Amino acid sequence: MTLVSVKTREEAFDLLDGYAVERREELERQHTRRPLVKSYLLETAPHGHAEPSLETVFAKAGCDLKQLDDTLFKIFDANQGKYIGLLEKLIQRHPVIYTTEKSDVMGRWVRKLVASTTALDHLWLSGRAFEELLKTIIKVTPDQRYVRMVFQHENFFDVEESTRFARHTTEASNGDDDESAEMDGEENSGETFEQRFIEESDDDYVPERRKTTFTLTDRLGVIKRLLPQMQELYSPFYSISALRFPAQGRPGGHDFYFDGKVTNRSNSFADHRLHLQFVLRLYKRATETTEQVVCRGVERNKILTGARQQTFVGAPVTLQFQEPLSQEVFDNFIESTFNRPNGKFRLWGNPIFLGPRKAHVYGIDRHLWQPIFLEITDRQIVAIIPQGTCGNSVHRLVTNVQQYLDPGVRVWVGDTDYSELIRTDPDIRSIYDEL
Amino acid sequence: MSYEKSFSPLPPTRLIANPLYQVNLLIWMLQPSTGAVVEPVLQKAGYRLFQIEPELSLPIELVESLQKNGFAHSNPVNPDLLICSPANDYIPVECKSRMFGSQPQPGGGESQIKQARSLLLLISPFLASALALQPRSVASSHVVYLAQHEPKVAQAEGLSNLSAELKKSGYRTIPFGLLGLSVKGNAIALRGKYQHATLPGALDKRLGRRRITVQKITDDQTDPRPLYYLPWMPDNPSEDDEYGQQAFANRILAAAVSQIGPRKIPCEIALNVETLLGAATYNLYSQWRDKDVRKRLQKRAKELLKKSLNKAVADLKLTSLEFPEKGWKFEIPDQKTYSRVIEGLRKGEHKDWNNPIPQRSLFDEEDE
Repeated sequence: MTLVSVKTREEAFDLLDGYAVERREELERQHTRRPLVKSYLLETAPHGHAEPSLETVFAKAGCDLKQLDDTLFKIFDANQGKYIGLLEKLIQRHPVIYTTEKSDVMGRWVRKLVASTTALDHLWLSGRAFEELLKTIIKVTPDQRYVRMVFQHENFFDVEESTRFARHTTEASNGDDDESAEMDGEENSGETFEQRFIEESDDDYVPERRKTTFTLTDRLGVIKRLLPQMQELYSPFYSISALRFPAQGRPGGHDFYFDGKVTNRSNSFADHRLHLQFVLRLYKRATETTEQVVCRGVERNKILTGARQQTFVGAPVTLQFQEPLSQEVFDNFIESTFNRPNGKFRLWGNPIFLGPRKAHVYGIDRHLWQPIFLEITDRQIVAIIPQGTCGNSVHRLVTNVQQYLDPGVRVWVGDTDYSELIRTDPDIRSIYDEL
Repeated sequence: MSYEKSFSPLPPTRLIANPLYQVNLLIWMLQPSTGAVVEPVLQKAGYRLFQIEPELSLPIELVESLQKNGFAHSNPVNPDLLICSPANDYIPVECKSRMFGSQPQPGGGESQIKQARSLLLLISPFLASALALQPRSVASSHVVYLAQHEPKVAQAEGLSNLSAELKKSGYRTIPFGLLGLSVKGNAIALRGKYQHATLPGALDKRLGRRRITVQKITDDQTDPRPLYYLPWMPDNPSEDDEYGQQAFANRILAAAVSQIGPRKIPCEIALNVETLLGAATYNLYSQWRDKDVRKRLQKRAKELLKKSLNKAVADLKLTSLEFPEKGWKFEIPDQKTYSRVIEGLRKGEHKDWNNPIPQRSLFDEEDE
């Protein structure tokens, strides 16, 4: 059976399940002949806002959604003239795309889809979020199971050693052009997560600044024991970019990536979907709590201005660096983020400098074109997220800061530790509240 | 990149007397936070923000009586903020550069005295009525002023005298307190013990006789002010505050970009300045009664947009929106124009954009 002939949910999931079994067998023979099942977790409107019509959103991207039941659709890409996957409204606010297309092709496709609309965003799993997921894995998984983790951090705004050296030895700053080219790097270059983290070949340019790309696969018991010590010694170990959640009672697992992609390396699609649901529920709760605190959600703390009732901006989000940024890193961060069109953080704004290492930006988050106000100093970033701006902006900001600025950054939403928002709730009632 | 000062920072000793800074500092003090920017003194004392610039009307009988007895007063009265506690203790808070006496001084002071009388008369049932709440919903009321600390002046004496005068004529008044801001070493500090004045219980307990650091001053090159929740207040002379002007302009330009950014090209854009001003001020703009101020802001915001757009795309054809709407409409035909418009608004021409317009031109000039 192929996607073309699928007419019901059962047929769709049988297809993905059977496909998963075949690929798992190939994985065990250490040779996959076809791509694995992948899921792309997405995010829609903030809590309390009307959810966008996915049919309309996909239509604008040239795709037709063929409905199978209330929440499941086949995605027909008119540009390619074929079905490229399934879309499920898995939980409220979080649609998921399932596909068996190649990772690089589908990665580009999903990025293009998200870029084409403000109604969709990726899921943004920060290193701090992955740490909390790892704690859950530790609680529910035997120590002898293998866990795979990827750590990725590049001090993107640091000046390269070669540039600094050139500055010290000559008056001319010939390195600036190269640096600019590097800083301008296209965010949506189309490269896949895997491509970004492969080891540079001998012929490639390797920037001389802190850059960590590290894959760790070991038994859970070992990771549990050693990771805190490793993080203490070397902070990029806080910047977890991918994590394998071992499958329950079967080999393999589910690789969650920082941008919401999840690869099924188990032999069960049902188990894969179960893990997606778990992570999405945690994420949704964290996002909604964040929105309640930072945006004074619509249900609470309504503020009146004069006779007019409206919600008011709420508590700040504070990202505190482990060590103060150098003047160079601070300057490069501001310059690269706001004065160049393709900055990594996709922010828009004109910094107001209040001192050599303090700037205010009353700007826009270009993912959603919604306001965001930032105080940036050498010691911290403080963000005020006005009402209507999605809490997903906070997850994205934390993810980007951990990957490109400070892997060990500590984060508070109001006066609450960000990690606490993502923590699973052992209270039995919470299991049923989420349903 | 070399650091260029965006504006001339105010020395902290002047900053603490700026009402726009004071209001924003109070809002920060009400937010749950780590205290890394501003110590959340009021939030820790249990208070939360209820209204900004509320319009509080006095009962008609009271107004009639005050007029009969010759007590000049403000009606309605607009304190800067109204905060409340979980026990429904409501506190109108008013920010002042300096406190004032009970008699008008040469050069002004009458409006402050009228406002203070009205605030002192807001006993809890009156405040409940002004807020359209049930009387039992307001357990108590207490007025608090925030001003620069001046150790050589009996700062609360004026309020004390005003209260005594009203009481002597048979009126009931509410207690009043004073919060003082001072610069001490590398910190901006808050205190609350003043002769004649009493803070509300929870706040008094929190502050006691202490002086609490609410903001740290990094160094003498760095302006300590936090991000402004409110970039503008109608009665704050923004022309004296370069930072406030830039922040307000950036908020208006950001509101414009949030409308343009998600549009599909080609498209026609209509930027209504009243919508943008509302978005930039949490709708404070729309309720401000002074039509001259509103008219000035509309005109200035329209000019700000025009200058920024024309600088970005010289041949962009701007057309005024049809009356009664105020603003610009224009077409974005292609990606290049779109990018230049977005970038042009980012680099908006906002120096002195909100300075006063000479009276004659304010009323004589037609909208462009």
